[in-house]
Amino acid sequence: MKRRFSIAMLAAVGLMLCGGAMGFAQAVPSAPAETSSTRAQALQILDRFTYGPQPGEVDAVMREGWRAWFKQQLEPQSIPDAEFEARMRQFPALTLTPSALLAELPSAPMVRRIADGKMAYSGDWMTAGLEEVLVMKYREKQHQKGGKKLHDGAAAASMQARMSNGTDMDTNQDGADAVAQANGMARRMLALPAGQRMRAIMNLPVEQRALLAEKVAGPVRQRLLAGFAPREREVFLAMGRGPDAVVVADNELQQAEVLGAILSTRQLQAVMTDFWFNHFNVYFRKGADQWYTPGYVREVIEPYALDKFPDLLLATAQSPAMLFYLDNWLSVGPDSPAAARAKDGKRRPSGINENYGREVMELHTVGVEGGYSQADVIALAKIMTGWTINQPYRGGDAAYMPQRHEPGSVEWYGHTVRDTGYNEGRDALLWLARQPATAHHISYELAQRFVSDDPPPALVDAMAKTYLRTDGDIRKILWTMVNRPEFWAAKDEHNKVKTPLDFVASAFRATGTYPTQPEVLVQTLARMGEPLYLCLPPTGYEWTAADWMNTGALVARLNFSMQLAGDHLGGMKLHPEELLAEAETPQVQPAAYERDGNASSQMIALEEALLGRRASSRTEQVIARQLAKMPRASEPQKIKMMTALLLGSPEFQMR
Amino acid sequence: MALTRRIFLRNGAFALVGTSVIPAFLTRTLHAQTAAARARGKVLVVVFQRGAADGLNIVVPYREPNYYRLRPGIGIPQKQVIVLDETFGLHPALKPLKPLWDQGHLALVHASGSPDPTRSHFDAQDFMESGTPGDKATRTGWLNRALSAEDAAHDLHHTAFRAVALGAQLPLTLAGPVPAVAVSNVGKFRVGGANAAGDALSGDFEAMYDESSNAVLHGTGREAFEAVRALQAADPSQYTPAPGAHYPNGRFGDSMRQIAQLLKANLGVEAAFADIGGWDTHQNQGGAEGQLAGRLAEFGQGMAAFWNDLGDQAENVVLVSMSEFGRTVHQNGTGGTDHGHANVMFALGGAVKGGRAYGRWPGLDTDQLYQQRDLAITTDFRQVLGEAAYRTLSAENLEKVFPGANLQPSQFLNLLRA
Repeated sequence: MKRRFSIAMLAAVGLMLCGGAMGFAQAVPSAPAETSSTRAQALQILDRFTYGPQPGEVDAVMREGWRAWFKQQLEPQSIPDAEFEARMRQFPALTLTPSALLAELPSAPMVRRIADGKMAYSGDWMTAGLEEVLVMKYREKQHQKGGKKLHDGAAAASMQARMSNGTDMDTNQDGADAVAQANGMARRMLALPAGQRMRAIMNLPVEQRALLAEKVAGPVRQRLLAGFAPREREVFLAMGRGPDAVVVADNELQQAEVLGAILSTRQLQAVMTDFWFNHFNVYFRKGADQWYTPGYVREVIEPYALDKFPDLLLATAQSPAMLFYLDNWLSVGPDSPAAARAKDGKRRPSGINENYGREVMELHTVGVEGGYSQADVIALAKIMTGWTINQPYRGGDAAYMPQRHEPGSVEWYGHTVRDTGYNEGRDALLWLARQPATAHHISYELAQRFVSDDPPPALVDAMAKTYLRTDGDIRKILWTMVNRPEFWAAKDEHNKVKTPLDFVASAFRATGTYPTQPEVLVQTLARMGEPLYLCLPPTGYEWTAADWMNTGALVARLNFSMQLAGDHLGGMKLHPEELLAEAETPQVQPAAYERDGNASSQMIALEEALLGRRASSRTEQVIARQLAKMPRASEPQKIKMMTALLLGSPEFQMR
Repeated sequence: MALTRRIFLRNGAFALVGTSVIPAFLTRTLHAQTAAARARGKVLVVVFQRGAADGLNIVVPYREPNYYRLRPGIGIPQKQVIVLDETFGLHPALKPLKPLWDQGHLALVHASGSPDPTRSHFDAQDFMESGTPGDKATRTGWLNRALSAEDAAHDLHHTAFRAVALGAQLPLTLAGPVPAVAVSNVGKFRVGGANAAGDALSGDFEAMYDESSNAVLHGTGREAFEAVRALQAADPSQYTPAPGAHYPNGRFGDSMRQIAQLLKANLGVEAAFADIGGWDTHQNQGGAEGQLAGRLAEFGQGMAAFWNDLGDQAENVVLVSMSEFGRTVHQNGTGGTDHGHANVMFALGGAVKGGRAYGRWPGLDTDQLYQQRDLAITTDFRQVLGEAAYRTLSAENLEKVFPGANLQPSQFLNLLRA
């Protein structure tokens, strides 16, 4: 696995060199006085716009020149991304439209409807088999809650076996028996040809099916999963969970983000997709967002991440994910035809929902200091009425429904907005997108993410000017940023605390470890305080040090470093000799460095590989002391220890 | 009875570590000696019931005919209610709390909550945790701001465990500039495994962070290693709850036990947070028995066990519980209730003037309801939390803790002794 990764990586680097518009013979342009050296420039650009350099990447960018590298990264479609795309083929659910996704991986409300006889089972045998399991689990839960009783004694016994937890302290014989039973069934399946296994599983009685999916464990489980086609694996995992199946797709989305951060060659796009998702945050466990979020990332955030901000804003406003998350789909004009009908039908009176109206100004565009009032919030909410979703619980599309729109003109933000239906909202959003306050707000956030927690005003102003001049062209704003002296200021090098995703991804990238089990990393990130797509408030995760550096997080990072280096990370293995072999670059000239007796050339090579530069003398001293305590350790053991210490070092927490 | 205690010197004061029963005279002496290090010694524990708990079935207005008219299937029969006073009775599953009420440690505030009309769990929890209903931009929690407010008024030394949340992530309630620790398992909170190799590397890391030139890393490093050391010294793997403290199985019982453990280890905990989910009973919630009863059994047993476990330290602890909103007065078509408005809050503690209900009961006639369907709010939740912060944490600047709420100490419910 590791071989494949490193070959792909070298191939990608090679392609970058060949594909660079200016060729690799180009001299690096002279930099403003604050930059220290060309190597430092390459490291800075990689630190800021990737999830961390891979071994050899700093040198490659040095040869190519940072500008050529950056220009190519601004055109992600021009960069082949075979390795990442191959991994994504394991997640077919992520390519589906929301309604198709629900048809294959039903939601909890759908399972309830099937259980209550209000909806038929799927015509597809695999999906129907999954639904049977979910319905059974739903009925069990109702039984547990003191409602209806289970009629079948065997079913009740099976439920008992499945309910037993396999905790450390649990010596429950039922639990152990359940695993043994499940593994036995799995082995019988494995005896069949791979293409017949899922059919055989669906032919099992429902309770057995559920038992197999929930309790199969160990190498047997790995073999069974490995033999499935991607869709079969999704269905199998869904049967092992409950009460809904769509959670499997959500988990895949999280894994996809981790894999992209580690493996994708289109690093700038990955970084910017993460940035914009955070800016236009949704919480993917809120109701219909469970099935709208994958499409939101795939069709709204990623395609527009390097495009123009007004287009990105409009795309989010029209996305079912955002319409649901900030409740605009519920908002109804009090004087609209729809409201009148609701009153007549004696349903609960509905009205304006202000959430989106407020957040689109406060968080997405002009910012808290944007100069709008509460009246403007209500006015914008009225303008946005009618922007809704057709049958969200069936994965329907976003739609503009004129009957929900508040009629009449509205005073908003110093304008009189006449009643033009859909265009009112569209024009309002585009107007907001073009405000200097928005230009400043967006530029500030970008500068905070890519330069400093406290970005220099001159930098932000220059970026805002570019924004206004180019109608929010994100590529051009980034280009302005990287050509400013503030971007290269020595005092702001390595000054940004890595977010948990930055940290974990950079550890994998720097050590060349292949992420065979991204689901483990998703949980690791949650423990470090960054559960992906699970930021509840619309403000998104922050980009500043205080949010990511606290006691619990640091303890988690130190433990992660030791686990990765010690091969305790779900089987994802560090390969120490290879790491060092790739790390040895021609640049390591012993004479060029001050020798204080602590750092051997091997240690320096490892520091260059993992940090891109020398560690502090204190860190080197600590490592040297530890090395001295293990004179009889093998080379691999020494490298693993040094790697653990370097990954957990203060230096590695920064980019 | 045999006492196991270890005493160590910390910052010039004595701290008692790893004990479960302390003779009263010894407690008083030690308290006098720790006074210099921690002027107050009081602790505020916050319990959040996530999912909108059904306050009307938790503390039942058993004399309201409307209650029985609107809840024919799920109302708690008068005979089964545990009578508290002339208006209210406890759900029978909360039996463990009755002694605390009778002893005057437990108080309740019914018809309390957040004035914001939202019925979204996410938004309402947000608003309650940030303490700024209606404002989604607030990034800090009221409890973190209360600790900040305390710092502004009192210059005291604080330990790494000053603010603790049980769970994997720090809740919004404790988000903010004051350092807070999220711990999911007290016994496993250490760097490296519990072995020589892990300890060696842990020492190496500590040395690196000790001399980091980056202020944030240096500070965080110091706090982290201090916290881990302090916790390990308290020997968490050896902890046994006090006799009479029977924690229920499950996450909530675990959380409360660990909070008690941390409090008794004298680690300098001032604020603690735990949450308990499973309250969103839209269907089939049951009455005296069933789904809600099951949750309440866990909730009540957890609270009572916590109280009994604390022993003498209970005097310094105030625990408040809350939920983001209540549920409809009427039951719905599926044997449950939908999202409502006002709810009930509990206050449990040594300083609580318990055994009584605070706030005004608005009644359940249709014209007394909020939007003609929900229990109306007569006490803003910030009144309760504000008083708790003011009196327990000495957070004097209430405008900072709950901006825009205009809280005045003269208008407190006075459910806590000053």
